[in-house]
Amino acid sequence: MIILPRQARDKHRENTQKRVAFSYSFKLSDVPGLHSTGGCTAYSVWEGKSLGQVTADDGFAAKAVGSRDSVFLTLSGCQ
Amino acid sequence: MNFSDTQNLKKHWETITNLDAIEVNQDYAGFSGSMFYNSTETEQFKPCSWWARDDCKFPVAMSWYKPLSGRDARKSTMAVLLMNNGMSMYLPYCAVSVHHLNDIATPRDAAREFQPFQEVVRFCFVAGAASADLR
Repeated sequence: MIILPRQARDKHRENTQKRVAFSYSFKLSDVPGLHSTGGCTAYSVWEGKSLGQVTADDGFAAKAVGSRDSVFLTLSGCQ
Repeated sequence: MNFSDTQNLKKHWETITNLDAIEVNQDYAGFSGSMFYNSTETEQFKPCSWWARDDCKFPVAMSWYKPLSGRDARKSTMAVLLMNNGMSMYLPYCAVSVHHLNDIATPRDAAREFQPFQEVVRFCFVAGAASADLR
């Protein structure tokens, strides 16, 4: 069982608040030159697999990005 | 990168030989790409060049784009790179759930409290939030 001491919890809270200060997500309209209203198909370069459809409304949001890591996508079939 | 350092080379081989990444690098559709988002929070890299006295400050989060010609198998027309230059793993689900877990000490308590999100909470404790923040 993991017990988080108060100091660790404070640090945890601080880091958690930091994490929400920026994002690893985007709307298709954020990407210059990508004039898509109907969505695109996303492919993860590092994972070598399709991530499915990215809609213009929802955009893309990374589930997790490791420290000093990246999410690398190519977009195709943009409409 | 020192290519004679075989141990280091082995660690990065999968990345530097990734054919899709090379394809993005080699493709050109009139513009070589640029950054479209950066966080105001920065991370200091030291050293960041061959000269030990140099150091660099970069945004923790950077998003880049590069138009592609559509010549690859998937006919891709855009590449997007979301970079985490920070020292912590980014876990958006944890940022939401763990924010409410300040007084919950254990993964078991957290899972009970957030039964519908049990998988996410367990993932946060095991893979990210706890280990990253307790360093």
